Amino acid sequence: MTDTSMHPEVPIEVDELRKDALQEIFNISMGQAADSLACLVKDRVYLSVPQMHWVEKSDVQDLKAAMKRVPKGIIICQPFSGYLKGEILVCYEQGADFTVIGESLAYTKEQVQKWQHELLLDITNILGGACLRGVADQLNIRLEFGAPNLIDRHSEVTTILLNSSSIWDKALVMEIGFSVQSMSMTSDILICMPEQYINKLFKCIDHLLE
Amino acid sequence: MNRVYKEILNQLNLGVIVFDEHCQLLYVNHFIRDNHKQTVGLGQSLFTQFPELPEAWFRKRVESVIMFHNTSFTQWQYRPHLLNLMETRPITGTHELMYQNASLIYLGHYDARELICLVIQDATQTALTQMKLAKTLNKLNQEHKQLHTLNQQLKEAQSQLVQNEKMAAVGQLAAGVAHEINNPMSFIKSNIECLQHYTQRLVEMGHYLESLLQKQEDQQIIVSLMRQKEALDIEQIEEELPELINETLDGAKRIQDITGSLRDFSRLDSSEWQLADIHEGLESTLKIVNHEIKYTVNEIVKDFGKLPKIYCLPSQLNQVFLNLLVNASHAIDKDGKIIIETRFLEDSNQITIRITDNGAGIPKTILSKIFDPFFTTKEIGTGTGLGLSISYGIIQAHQGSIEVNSTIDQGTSFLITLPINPPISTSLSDQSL
Amino acid sequence: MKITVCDDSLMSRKSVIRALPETWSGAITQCKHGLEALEACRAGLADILFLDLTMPIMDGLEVLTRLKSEQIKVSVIVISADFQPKVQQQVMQLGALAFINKPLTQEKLEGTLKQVGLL
Repeated sequence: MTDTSMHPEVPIEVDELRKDALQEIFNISMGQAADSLACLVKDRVYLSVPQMHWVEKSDVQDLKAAMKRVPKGIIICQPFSGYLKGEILVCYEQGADFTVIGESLAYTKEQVQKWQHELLLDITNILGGACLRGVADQLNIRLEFGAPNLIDRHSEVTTILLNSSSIWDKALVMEIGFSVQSMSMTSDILICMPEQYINKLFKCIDHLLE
Repeated sequence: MNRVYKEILNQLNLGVIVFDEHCQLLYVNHFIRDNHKQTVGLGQSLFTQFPELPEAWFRKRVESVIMFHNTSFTQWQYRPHLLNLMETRPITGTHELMYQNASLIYLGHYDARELICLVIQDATQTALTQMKLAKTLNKLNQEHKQLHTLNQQLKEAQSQLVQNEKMAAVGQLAAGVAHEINNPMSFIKSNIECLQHYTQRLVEMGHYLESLLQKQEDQQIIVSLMRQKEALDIEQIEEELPELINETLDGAKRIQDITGSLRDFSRLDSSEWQLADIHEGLESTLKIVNHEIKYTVNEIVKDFGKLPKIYCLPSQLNQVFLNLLVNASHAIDKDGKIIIETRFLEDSNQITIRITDNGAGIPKTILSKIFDPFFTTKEIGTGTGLGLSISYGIIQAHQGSIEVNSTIDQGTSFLITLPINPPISTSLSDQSL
Repeated sequence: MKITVCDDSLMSRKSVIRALPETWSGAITQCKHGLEALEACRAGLADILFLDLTMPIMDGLEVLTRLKSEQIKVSVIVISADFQPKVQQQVMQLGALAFINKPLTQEKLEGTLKQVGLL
């Protein structure tokens, strides 16, 4: 199947089976998400196969090297909680045209201009829901979302992750590319979960592997 | 619904609205009923009961929430008044409508219906505080900008002052040096004039002696005289001597001219307002700049009208003429021609001085900037960018005006207009600010 | 009835095996990629093949093509996370009996098996 581009030093005891299962769960979720999103925005939606990265805060630089691309632009984060806890970071590159996707979400052309930030928050919320709903369903767990927030207007995602005063040490980062045929842009979705929730995640996976 | 739960929902400081996938209204709590502008009826469409809701947009959100079983959010910054809910403080409040944050929550599938809940949070206090902060910040930013501009102006003024001082100091120095040179120069000149007479007389004496000797019989003496005359090349000396002395005298006179112009130009005595002849100033300035402009300018046309003396700071005006003439020569590559015209406008009691060159001209795009301090087209380090701005300041101090006209490849013309009797100001720098 | 389950993910293979009708009995062969599945079919280990599409070494479409050209008779049910209608079409043209979207559930499998007459 796909190249999972693992971090060379896996920080947590992860055996191949669990990693493999996790990758499969995300693959399946992205398939579902792309299908639902296409239905919602009435256009072809492309979601890339998730790239799994195990990251230690001290070497986010390695993540930068391992990532397919390091996007730069408006960064919006959305927290999720429930059985698992983490954040979704979505990066929208400058210069993208949001008119078409805006119209598919019932924003007029003027509103797309005037309320671009709200539209981006809205898209983020939908992307977050789409990507994680399948995961929650397959794992049979409960996930809820907090309100998305604009956290930076012009940064690389890795710069945000690098913030040395943040409280995590090790985390799982799933990198997903998102594009809609009619939008002249690709945005990047990072689903991040700190170490302490990975063990809970694997407990669920172990059930599926029994 | 259980009575306790219902009571909790009604006591909540949040608005709660429940409806189905068709946006049919199923429940509203007291918060909504009490604060909404109109009465709300259940079983109706959400959009008839809350006509302020943008329908297409809201339905799309409902669709996505049902699709992904998630929650969707709106913030007061973007949708301040999602619903027409009244501000909770009718007395101390300053706004009619409540600022709201809202969450659209998927509740689940019950009795063949998808249930969705809209929760409204009162964000008025936060919103007002934040907006006030933003306003203050904006004001601060503006004030900061103004301060910055003022600071910039101060700096420019300061540099003009420094430049003025520097020019004054250089002028003083030049005048001092001119004076020092002039003293020995006058005795050199008078001594040479004296020498001219003396040598003439010595030559005459020689001629007289020669004619005397010619008349006596001893051929020996005559031959010896001629031989000596030839050996000493006396004939050539006689021929060249007046020329040499004349040239030396001429050189000395030129040195005196230059030192005189230097003195006139800086006019140690002219730091005060006085009646002065503009033509004198132009002439002495031309002498000063001559060496700088002679390589490119072949012809200087002086079209001088009849001017009255005007009340001015002569050394400052000379500074302006110098700047304009030097700039003109810099605009010229070769075969330059500079025309200086002066006129007296009797009607308005003004005089005009026009300095025109046939140089490269100034592009339209920068024409408006040439009087700005530090604006220069010369390479960094070769010009201060202050010449024209200082000139502008000086002319302003004289209550006059300076205008520029330029055509690319044809040349540039500066027109200075000066009143004959400007209202006197105490100090130049005060005026030029 | 001999059953072969081919998916590169162990979890997915398990989910297929777990979802099989309780009434079914018979040998179950597990394959981690297309080539293994093809060999199992050649060896007669499969009456029914549950086949994933995206796999290393040999993908599902290739397996279907080979089975067709080698005229090996196997009932193939494709289970994939790829939702594109174009892919579904292609799979059916290559002779698969049915296409099921991942994730697989017991109900989904049962419904499909009934639909194609295997149950």
